[in-house]
Amino acid sequence: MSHYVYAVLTEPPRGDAGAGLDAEPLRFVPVAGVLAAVGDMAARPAVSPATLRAHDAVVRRLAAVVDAILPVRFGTLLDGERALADALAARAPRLRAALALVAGREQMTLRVFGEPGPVAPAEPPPGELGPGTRYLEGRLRRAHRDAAVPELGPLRPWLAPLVRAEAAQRHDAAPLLASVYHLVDRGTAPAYLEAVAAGAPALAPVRASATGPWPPYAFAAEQLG
Amino acid sequence: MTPRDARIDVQEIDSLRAELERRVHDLAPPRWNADPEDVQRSVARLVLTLVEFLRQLMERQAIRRMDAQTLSPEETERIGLALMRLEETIRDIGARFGLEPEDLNLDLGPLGRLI
Amino acid sequence: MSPAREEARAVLEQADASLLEVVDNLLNKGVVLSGDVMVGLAGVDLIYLRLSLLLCAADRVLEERRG
Repeated sequence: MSHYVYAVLTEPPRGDAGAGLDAEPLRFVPVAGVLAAVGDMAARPAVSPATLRAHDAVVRRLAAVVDAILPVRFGTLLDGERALADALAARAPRLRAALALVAGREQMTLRVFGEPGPVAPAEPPPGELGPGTRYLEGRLRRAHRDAAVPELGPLRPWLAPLVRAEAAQRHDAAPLLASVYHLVDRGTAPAYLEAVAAGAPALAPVRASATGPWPPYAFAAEQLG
Repeated sequence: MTPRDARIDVQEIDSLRAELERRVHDLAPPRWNADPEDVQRSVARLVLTLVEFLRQLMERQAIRRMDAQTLSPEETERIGLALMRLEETIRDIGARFGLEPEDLNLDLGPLGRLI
Repeated sequence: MSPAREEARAVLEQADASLLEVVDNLLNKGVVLSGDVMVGLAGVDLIYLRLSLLLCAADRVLEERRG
C-alpha cells in the first residue's frame, strides 16, 4: 500500500475532516516536525474532473479544521513510510516557514487580462562589474521581470490593506497577462472581492477577475534554495 | 451582460485554458530509454539533461544568495563565470551530438516546472 | 503522450472556468514531494532516479547540522 499525500499540517485537525478522495480513511503521520495528511492507496488516481474536485474537497475540509495547511500537489503517491520521511525531512525547514506564513490565511487568485504594458527597459549593470557578476545580475533581473505585473498597479491601493503575501506569474497567453495569487487573512475574501470591483474602473482597460478563497496552494510552492 | 462582454469572457477563459494546457506536465514518472539505433546520442542526451538540471538548480541558488547578499563580490564573480562556462560547455557538447537546448528537457514533471 | 497527460488534456478541453481554477491549483501548485525519472533499457524500466532529494540547498543542510 502506498501513501497518497493531501497536505502538510502543523497539528492534528480539531474536528472531523472526513475521508479521502477514494473514501479511504485519512491518517496523520508525524514526520520531521510536521504532520502529513495521507490516505492509503494502491495506485495513483486517474486525472478526471471527479478526482480533481474530490481531492480539492479533501484539502478544503482539512483547511476548515486546522489553522495552517500546505496543500500537496495532486497525484503525489509515495511508496511507504520511508519515502514519506525522506521527502519531508529534506524540506522540513522550508515547510515550517511556509506553514508559519499561511497560518490563519487563505488564497485569492487574480487573473489579469488585457494588453501588455510597456516593458521597463533593463538597467545595464555598472560597467566595472566582471562578466560572471553581470551574468548572474542578468538572470536575477529576468527572474524579477517574470514575476512583475506592473499592469496591476492601479488596483494595488485597493488590495494592499488585505494582502499578506503575493506570488505572481506572467503569461504569454493573450489576453491573459498574468496570474497573481494573494494570501489574505481568513474571512476577508468578501472584502477582497469588493476591493477588486471598486478598483476596476481605475484598472481599465486592463481587467482583473478574482476567484477564491482557496486553500493556499500557491504558497506551498517549493522555492529552490 | 451584453453580448460583447460574453465574448470577452469566453476569450479570457480560453486563454487560461491554453496556458494551463501548456503547463500541465506528465503526472507519471517520465521515462528515459536508450535508443538502440543511436545509443551514444541517447546517453549524451541523458547525461547532458541531468547536468543541465543541476546547473539550473545551482544557478537558482546562486541568484537567491546574490539577492540576499550572502555572497561576497568575489564569490559572485567566480560562481557567475563558472555557471556561464558550464552553460557554454553543455551547449558545445550537445551540438556535437546534434542536440539542441530544447532536447535537454527530460520533462521532469513537477520538478521541471520549478525551473 | 503519456496516459496521465492525455487525461489532463481531456479534462482541460472540457473544463469550465471553475474546474480550470482547480486544475491550476492542483496540477500546477502545491508542495512537490516526488520528482522521479524512470530509467530503463530495451523498454524495461530498471531504476528510479529520486531527484526530489536534490531539492535541498547546501546552506540549509549545513544549518541543520550545526543547529
